[in-house]
Amino acid sequence: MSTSWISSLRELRAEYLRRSPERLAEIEELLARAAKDPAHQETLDALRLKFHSIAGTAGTFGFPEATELGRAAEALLEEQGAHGLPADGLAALAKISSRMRTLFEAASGDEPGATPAPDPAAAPSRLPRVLVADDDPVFRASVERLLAFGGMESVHAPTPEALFDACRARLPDVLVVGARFGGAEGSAIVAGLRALPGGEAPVVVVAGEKSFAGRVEALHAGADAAVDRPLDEQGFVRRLTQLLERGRAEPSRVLSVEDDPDQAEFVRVVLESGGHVVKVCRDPGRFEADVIAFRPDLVLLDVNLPGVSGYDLARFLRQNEAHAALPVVFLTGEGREDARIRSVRAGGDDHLVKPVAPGLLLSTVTARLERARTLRALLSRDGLTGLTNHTAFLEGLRTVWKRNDRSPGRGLALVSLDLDSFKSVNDRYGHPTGDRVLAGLGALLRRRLRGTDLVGRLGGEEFGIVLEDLRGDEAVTLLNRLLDEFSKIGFAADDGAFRVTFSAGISCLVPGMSVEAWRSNADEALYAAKRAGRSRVVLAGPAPVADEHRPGR
Amino acid sequence: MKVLVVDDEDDIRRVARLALGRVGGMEVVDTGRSEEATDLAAREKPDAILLDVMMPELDGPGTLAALRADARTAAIPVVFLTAKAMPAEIQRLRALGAAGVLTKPFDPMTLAAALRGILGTLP
Repeated sequence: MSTSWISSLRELRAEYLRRSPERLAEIEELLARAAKDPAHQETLDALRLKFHSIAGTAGTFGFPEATELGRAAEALLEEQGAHGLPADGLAALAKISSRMRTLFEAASGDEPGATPAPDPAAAPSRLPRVLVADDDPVFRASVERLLAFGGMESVHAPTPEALFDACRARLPDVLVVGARFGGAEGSAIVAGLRALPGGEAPVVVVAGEKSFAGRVEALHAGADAAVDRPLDEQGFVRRLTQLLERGRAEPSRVLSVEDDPDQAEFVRVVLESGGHVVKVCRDPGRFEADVIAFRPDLVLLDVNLPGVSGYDLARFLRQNEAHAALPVVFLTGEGREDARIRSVRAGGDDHLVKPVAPGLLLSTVTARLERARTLRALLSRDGLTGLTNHTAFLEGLRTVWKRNDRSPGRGLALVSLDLDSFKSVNDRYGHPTGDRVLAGLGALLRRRLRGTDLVGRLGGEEFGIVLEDLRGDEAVTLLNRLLDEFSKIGFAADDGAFRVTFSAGISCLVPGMSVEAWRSNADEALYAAKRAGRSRVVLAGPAPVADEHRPGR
Repeated sequence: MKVLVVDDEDDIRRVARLALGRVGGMEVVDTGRSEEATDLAAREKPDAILLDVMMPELDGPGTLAALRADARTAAIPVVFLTAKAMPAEIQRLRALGAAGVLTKPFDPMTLAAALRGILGTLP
C-alpha cells in the first residue's frame, strides 16, 4: 500500500524541522561575520537569501510565525543593508534569529517523529459539566463523588439566584437540582431554566424520599429525569450519561466511493475535520453492502472507478425509493459541461472537480447534509401540531422498542390518546376551530413532555406518546395531570368558549412483547377508557382487565 | 497535466511535488537549476511551468526571458512563485508576461487548485 500523502507531508515537515538548526547556525555565522564587517555586501546578501528562504518555506510546513519573522528580517535587510548594516539592525536580526530558534525547538519537542500521528479521537476532550443545586451537604458530597467517578466535572450553586447566574454565564451540560432548593420548588427552577435563552440543558430533579408525586411534578414541569432519595447510585450515573449523550447531535455519515488511496485519504481527512463520520468504499463491488450497513447521510462518488462508473452507482441508488432523497455528490477530474450534465442526469446533487480545495469540499458536503437533515425533519413532522407524523412515530417507536430490548430501562410506556367527541367540535364550530384544538393539544404535549419523549400525531384526532423511564402508575399520573390541564383550556367560539377532553390508554412494555402487541394493548386500553365514559386514562394491565383512573381522583 | 517546477529550494520542490502530484493528480518534473529549465522544458513539454522568482544563478525573470527566447518553449504558460506578496511585485511579474503569480509560503492542500485556477482563465 502506498503511504498516504498526508503522512508524506508529515515526514517532510519533520525533515524540515530536523534541518532547521543547521539553517539557523548558518544565519548565526553570517550574523557574526556581519558584526565584524557590517559593510561587507556579500555577507548581507547571503543573509538576506537565508531569511528569504525561511520566509518562503516555513509557512508551507506549518510555521507561519517563522515566515513572518523571515519577512521582517528580509525587509530590514532591504531597507538598511544597502550601504552596510547599522548596529541596531544587526541586533534586531540576532533577535529574530533567536526567536526562530525557540520556535523550531518548541515544534521539535512535540514532533512525533517516526511514531504514527496521534489519533485525534484519543485527544482529551472537555469534561461534561454538571451543575449541582441541593440544600443537603451530605447528599451534595455523595453526588460530587459519583460525578467524579463517572468522569464528570461538578459545580455547586448555593442559592437559586446563584444557579440562574451560573446558567446565564454558561449553560451546564446537565443540571441536578433538589425538588426543594433554597426555598424554591424544583419545578419552578426547571421552568425558570427553560425560559432562559438556549435553556435546553437536561435537568434531573432529585425528589424527597419515595416522593412519587414530586417526581411526576418535576417531569410535568419539563425536567428530563426525576429520581428519588436515597439515590440509586448506578442508575443515577447511567441516566446522566444517557442525557449527556442525547444532547450531542449525531454526526453525519458520509460514504466516499473512491478507488485511489491518496484521494480517499484526502477526502477522509477533510470531511473528518468537519466532524463528519466517513467510510471509504474502495471497491465498487461492495457499494450496495456498504450503503446498507453504513446507512450514509450522503454519498460522495468518484466517476472513474474500476469496472463501473460513478454515474451508474448513482442511478442504482436513485432507483431505490428509500434513497430517493439521499444527497449524492460527484467528485471528478472532468470539469467540462457535458460531464456536469451527465452528473445531473444520473441524479447527482452536486459536481466537484478534482483537485478540489478542502474548504469547498467540506462546505459543499456540509451544506448538502444540512439541507437533507432539514428536509427529513420537515418530512417527519405533522404540519398542524409540529409533532412527529405517523410514519416517523412508528419508526421511532420501533427504535425505542429495539433499544429497550438491548438494555431495558426503568419502564417504557406507550400512550394512545384520542380527543373526545371531536367530530361534534368540527361539526359545530367548523374545521378551522377544530384545527386550533388539535394545535392546542400539540402545544401542551410539547411543552409538558420531555424533549426525549416521542410524541406524535397519528392522524385525525389521534395521538401517540412514548414515555421512557416511567412506570405505569407514574405514566397514569402524568397523563391525568395533562388531561386536567387540557380540559381547563377554553377554546374561543362565536357563542362563547368551549372545552375539550381526551381519553388515553397506556401500555407498559413487558419483555417478549412485540411492537404490534404493544400498540394494540395501548389501543385496547384507549377503547376501555372511551367505553367507560371518556375523559379518563386507563392503564392496560398484564391481564385483559384494565385498571381505571379518573382525573382529579 | 504536466508541470515543471523550477526552484532552488529542495524543500519547496519536494512539497510542490507532493502538492501538485499526490494531492493534485498532476505529473511533476522539477529542477533546482534554473539555467537547465529551458532545455528541460523543451524535452518534457510541460503544460505549465511553476517558476521561483529569487534564485542564485539565473533568477525567475531571467529564466522566463530564456524560455520565451526559445521557440520550443515560448508558448508554455509560466506561473511565478514568489515570497514577496506585495501588489507592486505581483504587477511587475505579470507585466513580464507570466500567466499568473502564486505566493510563498503556499498551502500544500490548495496549490494544485490555485494553479489550475490560473491556467483555467487563460484564453
